[in-house]
This record gives sequence, C-alpha cells and structure tokens, in this order.
Amino acid sequence: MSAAAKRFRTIIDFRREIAPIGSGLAGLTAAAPSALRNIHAIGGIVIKELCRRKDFYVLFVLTALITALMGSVSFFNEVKVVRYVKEICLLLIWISSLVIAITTAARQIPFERENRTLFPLLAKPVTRGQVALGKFWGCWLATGLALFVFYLFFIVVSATRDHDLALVASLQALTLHWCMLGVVIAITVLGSLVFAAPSSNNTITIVVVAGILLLGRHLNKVALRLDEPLQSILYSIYYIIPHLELYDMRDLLIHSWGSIPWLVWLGAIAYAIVYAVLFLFAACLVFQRKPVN
Amino acid sequence: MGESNEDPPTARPRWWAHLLAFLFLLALALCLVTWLEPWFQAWAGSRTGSANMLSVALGDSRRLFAKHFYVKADAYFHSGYYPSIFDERPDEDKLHVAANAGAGHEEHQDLPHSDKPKDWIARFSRHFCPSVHTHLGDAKCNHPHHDHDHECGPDCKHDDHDHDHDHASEAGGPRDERELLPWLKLAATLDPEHPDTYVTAAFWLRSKLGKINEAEQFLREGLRHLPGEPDLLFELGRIYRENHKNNDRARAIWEAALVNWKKQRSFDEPSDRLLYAQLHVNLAQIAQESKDFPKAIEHLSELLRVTPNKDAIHKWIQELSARENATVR
Repeated sequence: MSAAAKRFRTIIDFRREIAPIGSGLAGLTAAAPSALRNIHAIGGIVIKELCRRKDFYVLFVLTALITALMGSVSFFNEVKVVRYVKEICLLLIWISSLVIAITTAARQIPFERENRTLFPLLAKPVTRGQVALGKFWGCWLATGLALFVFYLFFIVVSATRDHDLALVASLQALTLHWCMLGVVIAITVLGSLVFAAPSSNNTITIVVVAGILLLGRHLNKVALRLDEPLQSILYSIYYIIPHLELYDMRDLLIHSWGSIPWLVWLGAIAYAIVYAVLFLFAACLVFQRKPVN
Repeated sequence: MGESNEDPPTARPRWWAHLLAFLFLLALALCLVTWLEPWFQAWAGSRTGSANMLSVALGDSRRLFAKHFYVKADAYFHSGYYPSIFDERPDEDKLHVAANAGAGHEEHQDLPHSDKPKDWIARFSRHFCPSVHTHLGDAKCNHPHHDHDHECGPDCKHDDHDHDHDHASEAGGPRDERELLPWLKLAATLDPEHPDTYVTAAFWLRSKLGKINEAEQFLREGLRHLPGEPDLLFELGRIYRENHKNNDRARAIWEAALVNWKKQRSFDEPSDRLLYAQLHVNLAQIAQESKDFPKAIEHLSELLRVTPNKDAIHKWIQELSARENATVR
C-alpha cells in the first residue's frame, strides 16, 4: 500500500463501504439476515468517522494530562495518596464519554440529510429503521472502543499508584458505563429526529442526562415532601425516567469496595436494554413519518 | 449625451488626520486611566490586594468551594458512604472527620442513608454505591469481630483473626487516612481562615500517619493566617506534649491559648466550653507532673466552671490538696 493510501485509509470509500449496503455484499456472511448486515455496515461508517475525527484524541489526551498533573502533586510528603487521582480520572472519563456519545450520535442523521447522502442510502433496499438502528449501533460501538481505551488508562493509573488492579470491578464498571451510554445514544438518536438542529439536540440531551445523573436518585425523596397531586406526578416521573445514575460505580471503584453481585450486574444491563429498545423504537417510528427532504 | 464612466472623486482623509485621531484617543485613554486607577485601587471590591491567584480568581466564593472540599474529606472518611443534600443529616455541629480529630473518638449518630429504601429502584441502586457506614481504617464488613465492644479472648476462633488479616491485606488497610489529606489541603488553600481544617489535618497527620513535622508546619501555617487562634494553639500544644515530650513548651503554648480564648471566646458555645476545659485539664496535668500542686488546683478550679462532672474534679482537687499538704510537712 502506498504512503498516500495508508494516510487516507480511514476516509470512507463509497464503492467499498456505501455501495455494498443493501446489496448483499457487506462484510458479514451471506447467511446472516440482510437487515443485520445493513445495520452493521452503516455502523462501520460511524466507527471510521470517530477514528477520523479529533474529538476522541483531544479528550483522551486532556484526560491523561490532567490526571498525570494531579497525580504528580504531593500532599504533606505522602506519596501513596491515590483515591483523589482515581476520582478525577473517572470524572474526566465520564464527562468525555458523554460528550463523545452525545455529539457523535446527534450529528449522524442531520448530517446525512444535509449532505444529501441520505437519499442514495435510502434508495438502496435499506429501510429508515435500519438507518436509525445502524447509526445507533455504530455510535455505541465507537463509544465502546473509546471507553475501552479510557478504562485501560484508568486501570494503568490505579495499578501504578494503588498497586491494586481491581480488574473485576473495573470490568463491571466499564460494561455498565457502556450500557448507560447505549441508553444515552438511543435518546440522542431520537432527539436528532425530533429537534431541528444537532446543536439544540446536544444541549437538550446533555441537560436531560446531567439532570438524571445528578437528581434521578433523589426524586422520590423530594416527591415524598410534596403535597398531592405533585407528589404522584413527581413519583411517576421518578419511575418513568431511565435511572442512568444506577450505572455509576465510581464510588465503589475509588474507595475499593470491590465488585457487585453478577446477578445485579445482569439486572442493570437488562434495565438498560429495555430503555434503549424503547427509545430506538420511538426513533424508528418518528423516522418513518418524517420527510427526509 | 454620453455618461462619464469615471467615478466622482472621493475625499480621502489624509494620513495626518488618522495620526491626529489616534493621538487624540491615546490622550483620552491616558486621562481616563489617571482618573480611574486611584479610584479602582481604593475600591473595596478590588481583588488586587491579594497575591493569591485563587483569591483573585474566585473572590469570596472560594469559601463555598473550601466548604465543599472539607465535606468531601468527610465523605472520604466514610469511604464514599455519605448523605446527599436531599437526605436528612444528623443534627451534629461537627463532621465525623473533625469530631474524631477533636477530643478523642466521639459518639455520633449514624448517617441516615442506612434507613430502609423507599422503593425497588432505591433498593436496587444501593448495589452501585457504598451503603455501609464505615470509617477509614475500619473494616468494611459486618463481621462481629469488628464490633467496637468486641474484645479478643478465648471465645474468638482462629478464623476470626485470619479474617482480620485478610482485611489488612485489602486496599482498605492501615494508613488509609492519608486519603483525606488532598481535600483538607485544598480546603485550607481556598479558605485559610477556617481553623477546623488545620486542626483536623494536623490530628490525622500526627496520630495516624506519624507525620509530626508536617502537622506542626501545617498548624503554624494556620497560625500565620489566624494569629492566636486558641484551637490551633491547643493542637500545637498537644504535638509538643504528646509527640515531642516537651512539657514546658506545651505549657507555654496552652497558656497563650488560654489568654487568647479569654479575648476571643465566651462560655456560650459548647465547643468553646470544651476547648476551655481541655486547656485547663492539660495544664493541670502538666502542673501535677511537675509537682506544682497549687497551680494544678487553680486550673481545676477554673475547670469546675464548665465541667458537668464536678464530683470527679472535686475528688481530684482533694487528692492534689492532700499531696500538697504532705509535701509541705
């Protein structure tokens, strides 16, 4: 491969990556259902886009730099202080992953429409639902890759400072974090079909997700202090919203509390799947009824 | 009649007109500076007097952040198990991390997070965050061998001690109290006029981490910001008495603390009364050890003004009087 070809290998090749969508020539085996093949092919483009864009690299370098800088500070000549470094590192990972997930998912469909690439995509035997699901799948895989790199860095920081790998707890935290991002991406894909512009979708989704993460756990306590009918309304909201804060295992990791029971872990994943499916179903319904031009 | 294709000549300003305008604006700016600068320097809201970058950037809001980081140290003391602003907190005037750093280990109420969950989501969510009340250095399990009132004896099985040994090898092992230090240091940097931060940090540094010099330096840093603060002087005196074994220096510091207490405090606040009592008890002990019984009795008589346990103090005074009489004979 020539140097130029190597340099531009992440640029999307229409013949190899776009054209096979819906034609039965995409990467998976011919026996696989056509819909899954299309979804996977559309998702592959999103992953390439994340590799090509600078967002992830900038956020990762910033996270690493700030963590290293904070880790180099000495307090009262005590070199083994580690929990504050873990806390800062995990906070940056959470912020970065949310920014990557929301901004990546929010621009997918609007940009396809703006660039007029949505028409050839839908001209193939690809349904609108498959496009929405493909975009979700790609964003979820891309954030998963980014998250894996972030958590690898966190484990290295923990191991070097704390001499404690906590692999099982870190693995559980990573998977739960990834599932939570799945719900967030599904919300954002739905938002990208409802709101007029990616910027408004970004803002509204970030506010909603931050609100759930900060207040979701406490809505029931607030509701119990209110009079009827506000109490019932707030309690209903408490039950309806996806409790994204459940997936925040940071305190357990920071203070070395160990892992959670695997059955609880499975339950949390199932809870995330239910909400992701609900939001994606809503997105598909909205997309079916939405004019593309 | 043909129209002329040439544009009408425009009046272009000459270069010296630009220069004059520039010079005029420069002179105006200089005049304004000479008028505004003295006013700005004299303005009460100016932050230019402080050399501290944080003080300049944050202003008085840094005290809010300092409070947050001080509370964060308490959350770390509980290994992340901490009530939020939506939970009802126990009615205590001191955080546990400070209460433990004060006059020994005080009995305090449990945090309210341990009440029964209100619904299945709350019950389920407790798996994902710390939900057991522990303190740094304590074990993080409910094994009866960790009960405060448990004493090792013949009833203990060998496995119990193995269990303890397992905890010692966990991350929550000894000297975990060092994890409080970054937040306390940050709180002191942001609000250098909060004495509890210095006292708490100095206590953990000297008692659990063996960093006597660092504790002393930190208290002296606090005294630079809060000259004559009785709480800081009391803690500094403890370092000289308990760690440096220098009773003369400790007595001098505590006497200075007492003088400052009388200037700054009163008997209205329980924490002030406690400090007054602690100063007199310690000074009485030093006087007793140096066989200066009249001085010891004098301190104990002062202690009678604030102590609820007057009988014990009377008994102590009688004992000292008897020893004084015996010495005179």
